[in-house]
Amino acid sequence: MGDEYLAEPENEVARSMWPENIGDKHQRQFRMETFRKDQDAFKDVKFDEKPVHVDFRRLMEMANSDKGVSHMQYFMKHWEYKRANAARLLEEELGLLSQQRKEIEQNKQQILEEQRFQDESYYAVKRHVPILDEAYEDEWKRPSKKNDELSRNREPKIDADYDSVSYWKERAIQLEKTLEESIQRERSLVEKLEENIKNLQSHTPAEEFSGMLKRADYFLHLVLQSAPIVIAHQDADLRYRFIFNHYPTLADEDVIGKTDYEILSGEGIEEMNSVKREVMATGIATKREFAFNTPMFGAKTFVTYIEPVFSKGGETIGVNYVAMDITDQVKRREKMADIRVREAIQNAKETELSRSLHITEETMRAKQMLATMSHEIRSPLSGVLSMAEILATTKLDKEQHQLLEVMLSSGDLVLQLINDILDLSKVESGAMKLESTTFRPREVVKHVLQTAAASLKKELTLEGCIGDDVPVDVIGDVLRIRQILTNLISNAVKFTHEGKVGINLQVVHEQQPGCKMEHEKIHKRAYPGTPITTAAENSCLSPRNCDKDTLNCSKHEDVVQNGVPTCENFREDHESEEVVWLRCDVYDTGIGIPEKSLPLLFKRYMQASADHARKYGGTGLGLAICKQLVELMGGTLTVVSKENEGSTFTFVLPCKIPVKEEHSDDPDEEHSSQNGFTNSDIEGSFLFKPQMRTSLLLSGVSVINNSKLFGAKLMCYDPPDILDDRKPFSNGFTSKEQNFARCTSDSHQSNGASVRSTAEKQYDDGMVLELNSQAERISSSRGDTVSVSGSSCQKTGPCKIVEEQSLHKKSKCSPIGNKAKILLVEDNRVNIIVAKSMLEQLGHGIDIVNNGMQAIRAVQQHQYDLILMDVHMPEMDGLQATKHIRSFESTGFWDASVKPEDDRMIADPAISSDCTHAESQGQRVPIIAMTANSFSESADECLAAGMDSYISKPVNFQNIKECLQHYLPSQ
Amino acid sequence: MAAANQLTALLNNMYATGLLDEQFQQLQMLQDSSSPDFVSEVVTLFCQDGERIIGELAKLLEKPSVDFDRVDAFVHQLKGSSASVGAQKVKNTCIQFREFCQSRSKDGCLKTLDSVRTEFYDLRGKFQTMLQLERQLQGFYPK
Repeated sequence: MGDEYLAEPENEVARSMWPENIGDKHQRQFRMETFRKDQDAFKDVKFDEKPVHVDFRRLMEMANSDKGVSHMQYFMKHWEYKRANAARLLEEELGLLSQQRKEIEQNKQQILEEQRFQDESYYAVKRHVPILDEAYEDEWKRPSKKNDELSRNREPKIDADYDSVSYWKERAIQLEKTLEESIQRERSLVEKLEENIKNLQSHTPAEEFSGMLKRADYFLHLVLQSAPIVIAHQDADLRYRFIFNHYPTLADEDVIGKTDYEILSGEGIEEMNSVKREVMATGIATKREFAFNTPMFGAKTFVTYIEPVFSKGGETIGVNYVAMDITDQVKRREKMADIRVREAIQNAKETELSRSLHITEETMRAKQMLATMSHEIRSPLSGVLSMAEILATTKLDKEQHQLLEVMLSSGDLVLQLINDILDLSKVESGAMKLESTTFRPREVVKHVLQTAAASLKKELTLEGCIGDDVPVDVIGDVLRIRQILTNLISNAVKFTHEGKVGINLQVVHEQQPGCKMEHEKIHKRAYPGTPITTAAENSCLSPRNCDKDTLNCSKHEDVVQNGVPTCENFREDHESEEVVWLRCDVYDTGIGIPEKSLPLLFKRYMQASADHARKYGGTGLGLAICKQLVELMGGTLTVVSKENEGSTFTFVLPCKIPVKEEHSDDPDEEHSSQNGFTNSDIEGSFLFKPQMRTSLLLSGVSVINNSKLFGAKLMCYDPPDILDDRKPFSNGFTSKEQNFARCTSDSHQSNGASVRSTAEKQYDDGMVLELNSQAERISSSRGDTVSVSGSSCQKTGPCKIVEEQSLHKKSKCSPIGNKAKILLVEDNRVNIIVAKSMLEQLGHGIDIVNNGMQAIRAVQQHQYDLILMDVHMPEMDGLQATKHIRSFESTGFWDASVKPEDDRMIADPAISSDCTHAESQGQRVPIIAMTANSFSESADECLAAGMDSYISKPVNFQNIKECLQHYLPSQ
Repeated sequence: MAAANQLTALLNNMYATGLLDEQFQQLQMLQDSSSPDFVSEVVTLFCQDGERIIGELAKLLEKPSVDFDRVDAFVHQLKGSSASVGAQKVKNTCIQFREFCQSRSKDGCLKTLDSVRTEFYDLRGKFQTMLQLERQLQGFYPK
């Protein structure tokens, strides 16, 4: 609207009623049209003319402010301009009038001159024709009348005869009238002029201003009528001096002269006032948003422009502010922001989700890949390892041997790692299947300790305690339980430098909800002869257990919680069967585990610290596997540990008790029974003491049988050892009294704790078994086959007994020395697998070759205790191979066709004697034919070829065992 | 425990019909906690070998001039395997087969090959059923 008015600057009248500093840009836009009085732009607009409070004194003060002054100056200028304009207009009017007057004067002069001329001519004519005066005068006057409009107009009115006296008279009268009229007009003009002037004077600035103000007021009203705006002025004390409030909540009287605090209360007031004060202090206008929450109008948000008002002297005398309600906008804005945030979150979530999905997929793939890779690696690796093992049995110098040792141990480590990974992925994928077999927990514990003792390279005491109430036979996955125990024990040994490592096996009584047991029944079943008092003893024991358990529980609450449902499941599944909870503690006096590492302990690839990993090696998988296995079996694995004092790993497992003497597929069990091992014979306690460097593990066992005769409660075996300088017994079979005394004192001295606990627990039938741990013995398992074989004859007796005692069918679990090395020559895969399995079950180490030629090569490189030879084979049959072997044995030389590639081996007598080949030359290796009883494989032929005997195929357990018993020198 | 009953019934049937002999019990005895899948391994191996050998035999006997020594070697193999797992019927037929080989009778060989094949596949089917039942039993037994 401004622009059209700009074009007419004259109309610019009330231009700056608007505050000047409302914004320079807008300043010119607020213009007002000049209205003539009869032309009121607001006449159609209805105003609620309310009595408006005007504080005139304040107005004066405000007028004295800079702004007020500038306003006044503007008004003054405007007024001066207007007055000058009016003066100019008047001057113009005056000029016009004086011009008219001049014209009139001129006319008059002309008329008068004409008159005189006519008079003169009249007189002249009169002189000539004095009678015709009047007529002449008229006639003479006629042409001049043409120029005079006034007289011409009137001409017709003269009805007298031209140039007559009357005519002239008439004419004079008329002119007189015209003159009069003219004078009249002049007078009226003057009057008008005067009036105008008077009028001008009466149009005072005040009147005009008030008009202007009124119009501005109207305009403002028009504009602001429906604007959600509050405009206010507050003085230096922030008291309201002026307010325009769209919201008619408050009357002016309620506001004027009051402060915000007096009017309002609630949120935002303080903030706004502090900002106002700040504006006054700094003198800088500001625009802010204030969120109010007052009882009067609720929660509202105002955007407020606050500007300072300065006095002429530059002092701040107050503030003006304009506030606009933007509550809805704020709400909308917040909603928008909220929506945006939510959208962002949603997007973030989606990306995160897809990423984690991707990661999960990747992980699954990686896991699968790892498992596959591990499997793929395992086969060739075991190939490498077995070849290396075979290599170790060949003639090597010392350095080669050392290198090979490193190779084998590294290979074993890799194999272990791969097996661990496979185990883990098996458990995780749910592919791990648990076996259920009957086994004897005592023997498991014993054998784990034995194995650990065999490979022990430190001065440690290994001990085992088995509670009376532990059933003789339980059903479970013995392999996995062994794995767990072995793992925990090897961990314990690894992290213990001095002191002891041990296993406690007990039955837990109602340790957890949902695993109730009728232990009375168990007792009766397991120990028919045991007096009922054991129950009481157990109850003495159980508080300690409980304490420990609660400790465990609190430390590993999650574990226990996880464990409980499994227990319940277990119970549900086997409600009909008797279930016993076996609690196994594996404790050590080692370096312990820092508290902060405990939670990480069972995580995969986690070790207590990187330091430990460096120092002790290991994959960090062992405990994770143990835990998973235990949980898979429905048990729990927990740990308590104190740094530098030791750790105790505890697992609690549910095991079924066999309902009756079922057929057991464990032949060793049969052996044990055959050996007269009744339940009461099974030891409740074992002790493996360090420093006894002998190979008399075996002799020790043999003594068991002897000393059993004495019925001693504490049986002690002092293995005689020639190598052991501490024990000067040479025959190993000292009198038992001696033994007993020595052992008791020994155990008291060296291991008070274990003895005390033994006493406490009253393991009446407990015994201390001192066995020798010898580091070298492990290496013999692999590297020193020759020497072991060589000495095998000396160990004949013990070997057999241990063999029979061994719970473990697998050769690796059995003590090393009792193992006979057997060569199996067979080409049929099915036959191989069957025969191999049988021989392994009997505890023998076997090499397998597929034909006669390979058999000869094997014999050239290794010494075997026995050869099982198929007759009908490709390349070279069994008969021919036997003939070659026999020929070598008698002559010491191989037939040219089967000469070994490396002659040196046998050529050098020193080496050959080293390899005990010298011995074997003179010795006939038993060769047993495996015949199919067909026409082409007659027994006679076999015997004729030099074989010692034959067994008919298919081989079965009985005939192979009989044969081995007969032909193996050790049996 | 329906699977267990089924398994027992199946084995009894196999013994009764002479498909298996007591050698199979040897295998079962050998299966223990240290080699839990022993029977399955042996049986699977036997089935693979048998199939391969029968294929080879068929190929050899198709030829116009039969290499009876090679045929004999294969039959010997099959006989050994079947004896080891206690596959009585297959084993006995293999013995017959070898006699025909010795007498260089192509017709006899072809005839016995047919009966070996029939018997072998009959046995294999039963073995497969057996292994399946065993797997089922293992599947829910330990937990």
